[in-house]
Amino acid sequence: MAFNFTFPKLDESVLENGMRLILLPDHEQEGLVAAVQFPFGRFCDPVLKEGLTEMAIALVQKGTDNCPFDQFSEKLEFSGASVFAEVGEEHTGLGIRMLSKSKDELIPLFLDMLLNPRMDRHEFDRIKKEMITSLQAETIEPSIIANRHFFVELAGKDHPAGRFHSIEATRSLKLDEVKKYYSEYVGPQNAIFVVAGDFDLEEFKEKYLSILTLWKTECKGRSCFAPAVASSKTAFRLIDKSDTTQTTLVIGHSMPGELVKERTAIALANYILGGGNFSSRLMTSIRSKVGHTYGISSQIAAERTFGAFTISTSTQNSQLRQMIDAVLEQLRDFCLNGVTTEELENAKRFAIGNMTFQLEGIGNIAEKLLWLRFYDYGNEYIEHFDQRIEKITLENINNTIKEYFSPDKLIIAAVGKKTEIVNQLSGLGTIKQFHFRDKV
Amino acid sequence: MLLNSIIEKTLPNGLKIICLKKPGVPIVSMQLWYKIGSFGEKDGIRGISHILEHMMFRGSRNVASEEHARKINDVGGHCNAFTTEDVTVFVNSVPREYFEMALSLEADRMDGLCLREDLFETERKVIIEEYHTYMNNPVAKAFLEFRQGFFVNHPYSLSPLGLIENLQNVKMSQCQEYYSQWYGAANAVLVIVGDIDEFSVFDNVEKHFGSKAAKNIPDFKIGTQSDYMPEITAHRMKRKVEFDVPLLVMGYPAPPSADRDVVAMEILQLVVSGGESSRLHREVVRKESAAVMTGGMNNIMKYAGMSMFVAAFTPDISASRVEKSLIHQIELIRRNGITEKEMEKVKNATLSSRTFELYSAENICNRIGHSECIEGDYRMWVERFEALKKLDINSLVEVANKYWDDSKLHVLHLQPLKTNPMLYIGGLLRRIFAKRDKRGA
Repeated sequence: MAFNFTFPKLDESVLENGMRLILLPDHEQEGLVAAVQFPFGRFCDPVLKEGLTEMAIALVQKGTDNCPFDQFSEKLEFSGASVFAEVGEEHTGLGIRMLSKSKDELIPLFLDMLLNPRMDRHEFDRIKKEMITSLQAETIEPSIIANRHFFVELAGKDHPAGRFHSIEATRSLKLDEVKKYYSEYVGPQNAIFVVAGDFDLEEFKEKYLSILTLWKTECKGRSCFAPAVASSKTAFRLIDKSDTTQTTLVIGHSMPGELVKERTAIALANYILGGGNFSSRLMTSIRSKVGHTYGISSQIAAERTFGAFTISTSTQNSQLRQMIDAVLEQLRDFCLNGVTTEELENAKRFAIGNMTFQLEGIGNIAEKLLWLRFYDYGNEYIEHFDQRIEKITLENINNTIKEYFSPDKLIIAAVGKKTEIVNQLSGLGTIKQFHFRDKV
Repeated sequence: MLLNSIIEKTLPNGLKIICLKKPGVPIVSMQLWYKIGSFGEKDGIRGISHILEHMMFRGSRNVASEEHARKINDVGGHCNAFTTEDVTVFVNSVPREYFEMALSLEADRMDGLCLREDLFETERKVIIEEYHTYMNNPVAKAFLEFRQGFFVNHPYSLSPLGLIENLQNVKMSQCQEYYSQWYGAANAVLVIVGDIDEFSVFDNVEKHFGSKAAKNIPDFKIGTQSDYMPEITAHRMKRKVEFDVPLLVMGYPAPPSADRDVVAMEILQLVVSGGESSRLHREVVRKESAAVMTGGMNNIMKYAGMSMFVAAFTPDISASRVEKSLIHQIELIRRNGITEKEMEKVKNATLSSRTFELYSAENICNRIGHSECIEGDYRMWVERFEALKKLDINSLVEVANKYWDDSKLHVLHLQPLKTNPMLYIGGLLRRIFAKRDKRGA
């Protein structure tokens, strides 16, 4: 299958202060995206201070030393611009989307936000209130509850993947801690900065290069990457939520992270099992053939070295056991017999064809560049993507499945009405029981 | 400029094709919009449009069950479908070289759907699962009830998911009949956006759709559009739900999608609730601390709409206080309108969202289809923006008074089933001390 993609000409450099700067002028539309990414995220939150990263990144967006919140938000929104942020497990991104006609006002504002965040008490208190409200809203969401129980069982409380935001931890956050955290983690040494869209390269350099180069902080370029965990046990958690007619399930085990050499084969294998939307084995066998669910999918959560494989679905309480048995049967067959040549070829064609969609528009390209550089990959990682995919043989993928996927050491988290489901669980080992409001 | 780049053609069988060439990335997005949604359903078959949307993936004359999705996925593309009150839409996005394959798949099910009893029964289970997934969310469930109270005795009172008793009992023969009635070239619009050859695209479409029958589509629109406006009178609901955040939802009537007032309503909504510089955020959240978060949207449908505002607040604040604060902000707009600066904000925000929309073929497809099938003409996509730029801001007061009429206001108060008394006491103390601070200052 043909895949022809070459990144447009990039102006890429590493500044004296360590910042990696990538400039990509593109005049398709009159829009501009500037985004910066750092190698820290939720996994860096100290114990009992979960939510610290999210708080720091929310607070940085509330004005600068030179521009208090009211003016800041007016300048942004009255120009039709928006700031966006993403707090991942091991990375954090901040960006701005704007009309190019506003760049002379908004690029300096965005840099001011990054370099001189105001972080005042009033905004801190308000965000805390917002975060607590969001956490309260999440307490009823079965998929969030199931995921939390799955990860705490998988990784344990000593691993950052097994710790979550809580109302108590959020309440305990202090403004000084947030400021300290920001100054320790955010700095040019560990920043990857991308500007893509409708701007002139030379003009940008002339106006902003000196500001970026002069950015100096106490930041030591800190990052924190969590270790992988071993799949060493089988466990079942039943979480009672008596007002539901459906049970939400998360089933899975640990998986190596992004940097494992079999990463491509793992991704293709997951696509065949449950990642391939309507065409996957799980969707075909459990939704299309028997109608047990509206949706079932499998995912690989891959950080640098930590990773997890999960299958997520929901079904009526009365048919939970049938659903679990059906999933286990699919997983056993997948691990025992592997995939077919036809399935592998289809998965390869999907992967190659789909990459084109991931490169549409400046926002997507900027995001892809940040991802590449975060893992120290060059452009050829995407440009020769098809070659890497085509290299995977049937033997490779089936060996990978045998090595990394397992139907035996599974952790299952089920959120549903206990009285309707508990009797269906015999033979599934010890069932640990919880109430959905229990602290995880 | 943009409109000049769009080309259109209507085939003799009535199928309208609208195309926009978007060079660059070698992909094509294609959406087939059928102008039938839950609005056209009768009692006993509420939810049948959505059932049919599902069954369209269950095989047609030359395509086996689920083969449509598999073929699109196997070339790296993606396909999906959605049903609203007014339309049912089938979405396909593929690498450019597979455009014709996608066309042939879509054409096959326009008139060749093969309904099989066993597949129908399996899909019924899937749809019932989808229904329960939605209804297990207590907020969504309460909102559905709110909607029923707003659009009383009107097809919009139900969501396109329909009624569970109808989903359980509808027969395959009724589905077949519904399909024969509403699915056809004359009731469809095909939108194509991407890296296509605009000179051959019509030939390709004609090759696959040209032979489809020009069947008559029944006209359920008897009378004028205003006959479909629901009768709305003020109403308030209070529900205790398993959700820990008190919520207040307010709904006023909004105009139907083709009405010229839609532009003014969108401006007003953005000023009141759009972002952190909006009136609600600035005044209700920040100055008064009456709510933690506020928001709003106009749900504009073909025959009627609802202009909504939402506030999440803490247990120590009464719902009536929140309501009073929201209404006060609306009253200020009804009395004084908006400022020139706010108008400038709306223009820039609209231009910005338009600019970023243009980077994605699928988004453009969606906007063109929506304007053509819901607003009445694809040109509305561009013309409404031009109308917005020219609008006299003084006219907004009249529009605000016309629709944000308190005698038609519906209010829903969602109260947590279990309120932690500590939250109430904690909030109360914070407020007392905040007041002391203010007095002290």
